[in-house]
Amino acid sequence: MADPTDPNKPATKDLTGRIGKYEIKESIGKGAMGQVYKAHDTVLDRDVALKVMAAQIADDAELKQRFEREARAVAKMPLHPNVAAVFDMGTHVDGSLFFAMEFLDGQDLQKTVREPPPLSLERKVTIIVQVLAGLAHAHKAGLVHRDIKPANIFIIKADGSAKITDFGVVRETGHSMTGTGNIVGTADYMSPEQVKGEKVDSRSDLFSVGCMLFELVAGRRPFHSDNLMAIFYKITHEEANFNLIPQGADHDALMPILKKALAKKLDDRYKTAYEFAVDLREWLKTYATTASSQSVLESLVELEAPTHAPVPLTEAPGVTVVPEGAEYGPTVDLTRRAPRKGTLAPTRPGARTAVDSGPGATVRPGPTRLVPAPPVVRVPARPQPAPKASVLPWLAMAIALVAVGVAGWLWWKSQQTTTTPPVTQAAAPPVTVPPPPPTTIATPAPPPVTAAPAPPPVQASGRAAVSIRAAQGALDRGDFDRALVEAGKALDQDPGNRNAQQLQDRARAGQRALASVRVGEAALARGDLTAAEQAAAEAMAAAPWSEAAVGLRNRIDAAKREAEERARSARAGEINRLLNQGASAMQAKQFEAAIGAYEQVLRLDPGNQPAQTGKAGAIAAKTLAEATASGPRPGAAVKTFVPGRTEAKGTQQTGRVPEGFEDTPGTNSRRGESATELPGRILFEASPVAPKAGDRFKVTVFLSNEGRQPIQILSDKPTMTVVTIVDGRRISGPPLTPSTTTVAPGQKAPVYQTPELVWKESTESWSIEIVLQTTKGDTYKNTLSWK
Amino acid sequence: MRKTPALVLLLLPAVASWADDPVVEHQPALRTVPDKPMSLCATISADRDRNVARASIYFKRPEEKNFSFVSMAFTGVTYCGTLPGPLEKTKVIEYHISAVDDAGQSGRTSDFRIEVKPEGACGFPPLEKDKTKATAIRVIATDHKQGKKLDDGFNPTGVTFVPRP
Repeated sequence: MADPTDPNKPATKDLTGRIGKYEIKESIGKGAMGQVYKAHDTVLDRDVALKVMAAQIADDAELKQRFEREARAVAKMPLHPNVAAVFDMGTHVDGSLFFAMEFLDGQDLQKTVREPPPLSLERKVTIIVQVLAGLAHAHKAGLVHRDIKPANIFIIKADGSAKITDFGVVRETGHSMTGTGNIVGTADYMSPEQVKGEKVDSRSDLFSVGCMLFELVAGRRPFHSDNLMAIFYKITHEEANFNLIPQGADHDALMPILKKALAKKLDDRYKTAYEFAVDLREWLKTYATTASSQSVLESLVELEAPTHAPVPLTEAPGVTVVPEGAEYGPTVDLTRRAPRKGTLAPTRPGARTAVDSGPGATVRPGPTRLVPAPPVVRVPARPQPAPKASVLPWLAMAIALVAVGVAGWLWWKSQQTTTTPPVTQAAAPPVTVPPPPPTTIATPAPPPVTAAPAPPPVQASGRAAVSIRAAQGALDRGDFDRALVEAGKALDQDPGNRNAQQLQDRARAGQRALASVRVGEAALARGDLTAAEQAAAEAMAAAPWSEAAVGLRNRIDAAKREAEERARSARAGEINRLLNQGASAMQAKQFEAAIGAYEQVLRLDPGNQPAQTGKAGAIAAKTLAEATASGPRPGAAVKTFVPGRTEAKGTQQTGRVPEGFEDTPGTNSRRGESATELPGRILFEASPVAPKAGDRFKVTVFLSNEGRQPIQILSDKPTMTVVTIVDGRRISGPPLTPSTTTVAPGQKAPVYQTPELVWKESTESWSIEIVLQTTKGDTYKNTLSWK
Repeated sequence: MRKTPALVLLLLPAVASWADDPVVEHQPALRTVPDKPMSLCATISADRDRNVARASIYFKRPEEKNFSFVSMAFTGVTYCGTLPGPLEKTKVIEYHISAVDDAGQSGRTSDFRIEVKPEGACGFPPLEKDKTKATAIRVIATDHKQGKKLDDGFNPTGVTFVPRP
């Protein structure tokens, strides 16, 4: 295995170009496990954040495995608005792993709090609430993040919402990963159990959230120190300095929440993110004034209530901090070796070392070689400090507030039971996991519209239960009339029943949507897409979850696509007709008519090459004709170079006429050829276009590619034949190699140029014929004649 | 009835001879400079439905008895060949161009003479501008008496001499 500490190995791979279907745009930072790039998914046409494993750990099987698990763990979790989504995972050609995540526009919380303007307290709380919502979701999926810190919380620029990112150390609970005793996480936000290397469960994340909340509120990290070992000691033994919390009723009200979140003992701490969030919701109810906080409050109603016990505890082997005087003495042992008093044991080969890289440093896997023993860290044993006299009033107030909070929470819970039925397992995902924002799933061909998640079914109980269940069933079937009747019955039985009211509202919305759908269908049937669109919009506005509304929307989209296709086809037909008209006019020497026809084509398709060439030829011929008509040699024959049509012969005999090619002037396709196979045309440029005796002239031959794929000219041996016929005599020879071998789509490239020749007065006829072969076996042939 | 095939056979040579020989049109070079390879081109056409099979430039010093030749390559409209550069002592080069069509009929130009003049005294020497061609000249002897070396009136740099067996 390569030595991951090799100093010559770059810290990160500076990637450019492409990784699979992802086109690297720029490096946008580093995650816990590797470099992160902004990249573009060329297949789905969307930007992603591409995380590529760091070079040092590319050879480390264990880390590689963890990296893979990071992606899988997050990817298998249902989408949540407060968790960054993972789209894809793969292996780069050099063997390093990468995965594609939702690209987020904004900045992390760490930067957000450092930049002006300062966040208001309620904004800070709303951010934490969103983090808890994301964590509740992750915990429900059996995941513990283990590295919650401001740098891993992303604040979206567009709406200010928070997303948890960098599940770089995420660990599936119940799946033991490391056996080498390394800490994974950020020292300042680690939970006591993480520091001790004990079993870790979802409550560890809640401690980290508590640290974040403390930092946001107090402006300082609760256990910060310049020394890593001191941080560890503080986390495991000292209370956070709550005196740092500013005074005021709003701050005071947060105190019990913070204390509970930062409780050292697991049993004293919040058991679930939901519980933590509910307490913050109570705080917001009291102190929030802004609309955004109100919005968070509303979303909290939909916060996923835990349907499970805390995510099971798992081993988190690693650092063990033992206070002086305890059983193991004062040594801080990072490797769980048999401790020696007074010294820090050097790491053994294969073990990892926690490295203090400064304030807020992330504790990363250390080298797997012996390192010099760091200075001994002695942590003086000290008894748990007794509460000071000045703290007692605070304590009393905190207890009182906790009591008030608990009472309020119990009251709220009882209200929830009667007014807001618990969200069921089936209902939770549609409510809390809206589809990702459209900007992140932009694709060239928009997928059909899908119905918005249906409102969660209500849980019926009590006297009106039977009618509510019937109403819900009717609603599910799309029978809104019936649902309305049943909801009405339920309200008769229990007039204040909120569930019945909700069902009644939904049924009415469904009826409105259905009425609009009928109008839209009628409009669609008579081809009035505008009216149909309007009706669909009304239906979607009334009931976005209605399948009928969505069906109408999709039928309209299909009808629009068909109409566009018809228009495109008609336009192509018209262009072909005009080009034919131009070519016929040229043959009849009706140059004005030809110019007019080509100009009409160019109005329809300004880039149309045959029309451009045709118009130029017609103008030249017209000028020449006029000059000759007024010149000194009346009656003299006016001859000019005239290009023929490219004869394209394919190898595939499909038995059908190539669409759009058979009647296209400039190409004489034959039946049985595939148009997509034969997009080439041979074009000529003669200078001058009407040489006179003694004039020097030359001809350049081009291959134009009007298809969507490059045309590769057969060039492993000379295959281009050039035959010049002058006055019936043939100038020919062995095949030549064209000067261009590949013609890109939409381009033309020179394949041959004559030397400069002298036009002889005796010449009666002159033509040059070019035949090209492609690597696909197709043949293109065209002739330029002087006549 | 039996006489008809015999008649056709008798007429066939006559029919074949109706086709014209290849025609070689060439603007002769009049002067060149010493030591530098020359490029000579010609328009060579065959009669309808025939192709030029090969074309060559035959050349020698007037004092030499036998011609040597170089093959001409098709460029699309013309045939061109590269002659070795004459040494300074060579005053005149005689040459003609000959072509054969795929039916074996041949045609040629008259004999032309190129004077070798010092650089500056010659306005438009027909020099070979393509370095690849100038350094890969293949001269073929027409008689075994020419020996195994290029005639010493020409610069042998970049020349491969093919003796007549």
